[in-house]
Amino acid sequence: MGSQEAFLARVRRALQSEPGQAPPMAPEPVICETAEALQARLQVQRQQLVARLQEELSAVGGKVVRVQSVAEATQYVTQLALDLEARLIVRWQSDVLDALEIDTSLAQAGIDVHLAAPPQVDALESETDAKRQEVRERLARAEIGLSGVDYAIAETGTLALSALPGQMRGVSLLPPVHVAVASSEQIVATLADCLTLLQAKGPSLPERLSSCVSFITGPSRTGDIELSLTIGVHGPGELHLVILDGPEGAGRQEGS
Amino acid sequence: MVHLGTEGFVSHAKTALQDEPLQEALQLLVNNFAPRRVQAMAALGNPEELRTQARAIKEHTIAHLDTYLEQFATQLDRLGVHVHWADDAAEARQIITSIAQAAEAKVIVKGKSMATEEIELNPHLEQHGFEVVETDLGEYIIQLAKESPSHIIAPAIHKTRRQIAELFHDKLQTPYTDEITEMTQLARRQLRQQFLRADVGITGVNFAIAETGSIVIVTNEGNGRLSSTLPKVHVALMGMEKLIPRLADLSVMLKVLTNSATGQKISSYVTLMTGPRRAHDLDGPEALHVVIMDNGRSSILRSANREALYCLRCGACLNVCPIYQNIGGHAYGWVYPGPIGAVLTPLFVGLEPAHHLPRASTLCGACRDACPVKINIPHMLLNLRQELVQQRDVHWSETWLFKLWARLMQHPRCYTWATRLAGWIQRPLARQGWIGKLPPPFHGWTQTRDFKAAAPVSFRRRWQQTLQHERATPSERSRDG
Repeated sequence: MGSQEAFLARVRRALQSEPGQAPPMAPEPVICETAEALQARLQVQRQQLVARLQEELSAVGGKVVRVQSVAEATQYVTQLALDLEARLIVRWQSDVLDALEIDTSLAQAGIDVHLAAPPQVDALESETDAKRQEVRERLARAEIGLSGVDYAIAETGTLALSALPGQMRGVSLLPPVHVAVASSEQIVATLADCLTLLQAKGPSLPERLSSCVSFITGPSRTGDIELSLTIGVHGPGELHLVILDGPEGAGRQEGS
Repeated sequence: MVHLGTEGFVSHAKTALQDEPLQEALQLLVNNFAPRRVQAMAALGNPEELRTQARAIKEHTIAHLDTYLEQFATQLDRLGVHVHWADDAAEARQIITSIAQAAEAKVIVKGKSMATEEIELNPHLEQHGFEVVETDLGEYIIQLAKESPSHIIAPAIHKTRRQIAELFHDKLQTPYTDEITEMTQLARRQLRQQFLRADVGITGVNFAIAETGSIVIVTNEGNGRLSSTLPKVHVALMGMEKLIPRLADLSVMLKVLTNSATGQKISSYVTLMTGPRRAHDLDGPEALHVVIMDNGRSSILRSANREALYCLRCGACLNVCPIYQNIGGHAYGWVYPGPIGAVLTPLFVGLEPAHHLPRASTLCGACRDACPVKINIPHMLLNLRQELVQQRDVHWSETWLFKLWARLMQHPRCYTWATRLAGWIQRPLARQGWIGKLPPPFHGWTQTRDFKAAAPVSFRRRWQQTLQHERATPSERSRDG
């Protein structure tokens, strides 16, 4: 197979450049704001951002609900599960969801909640094909996937979800209905803001970026047959966003 | 996936023009796709600024591609990603096959990827005994039909819903329905089973970020997410030009890509992957392989057509092209159709076999105006035409005629006389302002259309007469003005 040296040497010949040249300066930096300054700016715009997020996500077929309390959020999710006659819900383990005490409420309604808890032992060492298959099947069987978000982007109505311990990728992907709960504090104005904050999290690369950040904007869609818009191809056909606007939402810790 | 081949372009184009379902399908593109992009770009408020920025990012990255490739590879190494370098298509196919063999795979799911089309990966994997399933709805349709994509982002645009309904009924043994929602749900159920069985997922890459070693995949259906999440091995194949320097550059690039491709502010799913799954992640691939492919790109880098490497594969130039709008994608005969295909195909497969393509353009410039990174496609088409003239034996009559033309243009008086002479000569040929048949060597122009006859009074003559008239009646002119 081609080696890196030979490959790069050919590119250098084509560019007529010398190896080991100092890294060139990229075009003018896009980021010109610190994370703190950005958060301060967003804090001032908070109410407009919530409204914009609601408008943009609704425009692409997402359902947005604003609630003032944890109890209200729990009520919404429970009612939705009852309406959909859900029997199994898979959910993230995250502070905002744990605060909802949703498991109890759903259990009372006779709905099984599977918590995507971080494994006790090293997942990669212990995982067998059978285990992997079990996880896949459970995700595929669940009627609802319940997640938090890392950020929500107002400009485009986008939810940013990082894969982290307790935050499974499949929860927002396999079940036919995805419900995300966000606090209004997590809303940013633009994708550029979101990328700035994602990078501000840790000192070095693996800490900064999780193995996977999914930017989700509305339900799964296609136009592949006669360019006609159709919802729910591979991903969820329904996307609900519950925005927790009250004081409880404001108290959530960053980066949990 | 059978490509028609580039040699037969002229006859493929003729067939396409007679193909009624194709013409019907292409009409949708003209009425739907093209205006959606225009509206979306306008809604951005500063589309010109964004396009300029996006172009600057690509221009810079490609000019320092060696440095960014090295940085990208270093980051991939640190993240535990397997990096592979493929000099050509054969190597890329071999690398991917070996990965699948090592994983003891039976079923391979694929997200939508033009790079894998470029190396004709599917037949190769099938020869090695793997079951390969395309999971993008459009790609799935054409895989069932054993065809090739006819559009970069809407691969099955050439098929009408009834044709697809017949296909599903026939191949999937399901009751006939031509309801688009039902057909989509049918495909969802079929493909979901494949996703749950798959051992290896193969995707392309929309952007690769040098600074962080991340790859970005953009889809609307979620096929890219599923292919890169469920199987235990994920293979991402990328042309080496897919790099951008920093994570921060993604914001601009993504904006111009999705607005140009589908008129969306952002696609439903944008997945930013940095390394394989980590110790405490609950799902995701255990192994991530990134295959970086040259396959002729370094030659393009060296050539006068370097900016062809800025292409984001958004398909916007196809939608606005008067040629593509009439003949569709298959007539171009290879993987990349439309204006950018007319440039890329000769650069990839060689100018000689693809010599028709650079000439299949009116040079109207709509492609350049639609391009999110302002690629000057007409200019590159002219470069290729020039190369063709230099390479090929041109008929003596053509050389002679162009020499004569050049002479005439340099001498206005001779030119006036020549046009007057042409007016006399055409008289017996013209009927009501049109010429139905020209004598050789001009007969090619009238083979499929009538030729507009020269006006009885030339423009130059009329211009002079108008000037004389206006000088004579200055009062009238001031009233008009």
